[in-house]
Amino acid sequence: MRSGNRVLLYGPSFQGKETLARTIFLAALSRGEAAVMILLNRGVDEVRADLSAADAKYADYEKKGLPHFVDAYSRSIGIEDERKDTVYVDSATDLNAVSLALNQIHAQVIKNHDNHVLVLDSVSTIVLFGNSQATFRFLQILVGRARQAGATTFLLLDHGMHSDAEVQMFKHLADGVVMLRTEGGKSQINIEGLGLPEPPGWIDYKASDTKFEITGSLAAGRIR
Amino acid sequence: MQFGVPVLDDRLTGAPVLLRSIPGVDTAPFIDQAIARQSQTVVYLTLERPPQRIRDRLARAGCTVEIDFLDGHHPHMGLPADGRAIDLRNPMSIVQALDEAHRRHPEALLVLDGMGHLAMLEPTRFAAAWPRIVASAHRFNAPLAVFTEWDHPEVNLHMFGDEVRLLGVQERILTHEYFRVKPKDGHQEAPVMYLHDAQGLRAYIPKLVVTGPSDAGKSTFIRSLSGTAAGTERNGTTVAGERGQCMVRGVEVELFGTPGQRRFDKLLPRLIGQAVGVVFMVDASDRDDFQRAAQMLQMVRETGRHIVVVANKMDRDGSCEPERLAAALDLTDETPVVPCTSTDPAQARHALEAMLDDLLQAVPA
Repeated sequence: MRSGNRVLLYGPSFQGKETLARTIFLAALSRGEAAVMILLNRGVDEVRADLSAADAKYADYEKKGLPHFVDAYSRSIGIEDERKDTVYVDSATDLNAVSLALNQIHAQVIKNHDNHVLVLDSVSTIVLFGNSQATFRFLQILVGRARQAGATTFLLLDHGMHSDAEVQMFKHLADGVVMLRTEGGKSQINIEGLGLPEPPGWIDYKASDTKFEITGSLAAGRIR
Repeated sequence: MQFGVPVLDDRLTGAPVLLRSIPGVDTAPFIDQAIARQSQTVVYLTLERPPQRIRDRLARAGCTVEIDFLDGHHPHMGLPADGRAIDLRNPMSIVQALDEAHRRHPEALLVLDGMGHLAMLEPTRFAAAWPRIVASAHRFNAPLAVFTEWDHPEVNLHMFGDEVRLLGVQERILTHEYFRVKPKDGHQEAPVMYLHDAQGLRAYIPKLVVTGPSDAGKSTFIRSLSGTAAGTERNGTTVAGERGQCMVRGVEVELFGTPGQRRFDKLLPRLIGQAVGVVFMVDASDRDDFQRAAQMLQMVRETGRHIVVVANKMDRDGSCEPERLAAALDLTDETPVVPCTSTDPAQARHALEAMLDDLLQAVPA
């Protein structure tokens, strides 16, 4: 995957999409890169607890100032905490405030980092509060600007919440799609785009709350 | 409608105001300053954020005015409205709510926040409702509509009134926010950068370079304007950038002086880079230095920045009149020459005002 890529993480609920996103987020931090997460349906405290559980070094990453969050959830349920690494937004419906918050974080990130990882959790939540066309327009601007700030962006999209036409539309925002599914009782992952000449095929994986692990064949090393 | 920003307020005609921003630019500082100048009740339509958050924000800014909320946010989230409920999916419901609010508060300031969000969410219904929303809004004493341009709607936004467009420069991030005013039925005016922080909203020039030959009076000019300034001097001449800050006509200006010695010439284009304008100082009493001034001025011209030439030290005997200085430097009519004795703060301020006039002059739409 190239720096600056935009990737859709697409799969059903409870299939490990969030775990995969956390793994990508933590991998960036472990390389000493900055990582930013936009939270629309969970609060930053909950997410930090998950990140700490998944990686014992997470506290060190925080000390180095690497993780950053836009939290558009906590205020809506009355949590009034303040954290230095988090910009809070009053409501997930206030898309301009989400843009402003991300710009504010990018202003800090670009001082020390040419590239970083951005995770948006999730596209489906924005659609839920608006509609797919409005969400597409918002993301088109947000993702374009994030790329200029050096972000490799991961957008989470729930399978089963959107029509095929909507999914196709959101694919237009991305350079590739990482798809998750359950087949014959097995969890499987596949990739479209991202410079691969053809999809590598469905590969088995295991996901828990803290770990995402590829267990199937990597088809002669076509996934790196 | 007044925002408490002289350069902005002077350009408004008194008509209703459409605050139109690109995504990622904050409209709240403008709304808050408009409300802060009100003694009457404010009728506030909110679609994207909860009324209580807006109350809190305004309270932090010291606003105590009564606010009558028309709440489209909570009903959209499936929650009880905090104020009169608005159905976001039915923009015509806004018309009825505005008419009712006007009966309650005929003298109120009206804020229609989130119009761009509505246009993005319900483009067809918004287009149908917009002329009626405008008509109802215009019945208020001071209407302000806020429109973030997520998309280009199929409606005539100009019908609302004077337009204040909020824009930003996209580099790696969105930075250097500025506004452009297009008065109703008038031409779009030149852009004005602004700043908003705990001290409020104000017009802002983030970099104005003061340059010219050695001993032209650059440091004196900066110190005279800013009261204090920081720089590095050796044997009475500046060898590293002098900096200062001042407020002129409600515009906060950051001044950056450059050394005038020839050995710094190669640095000049970089020092002037990203400057909004250049104040070019010339010692009008030292005709021997005009050739050096002309040579430096040519370098400055090549950067394409706005230039105002200051004919300094006019209090000295034998000082060259501005017209003669203009001829000696081969200046066109487009470059103003301002006589000045920069030890006098009033004269230095007058020279800087000439630069502001040059920067803020009207340009065709």
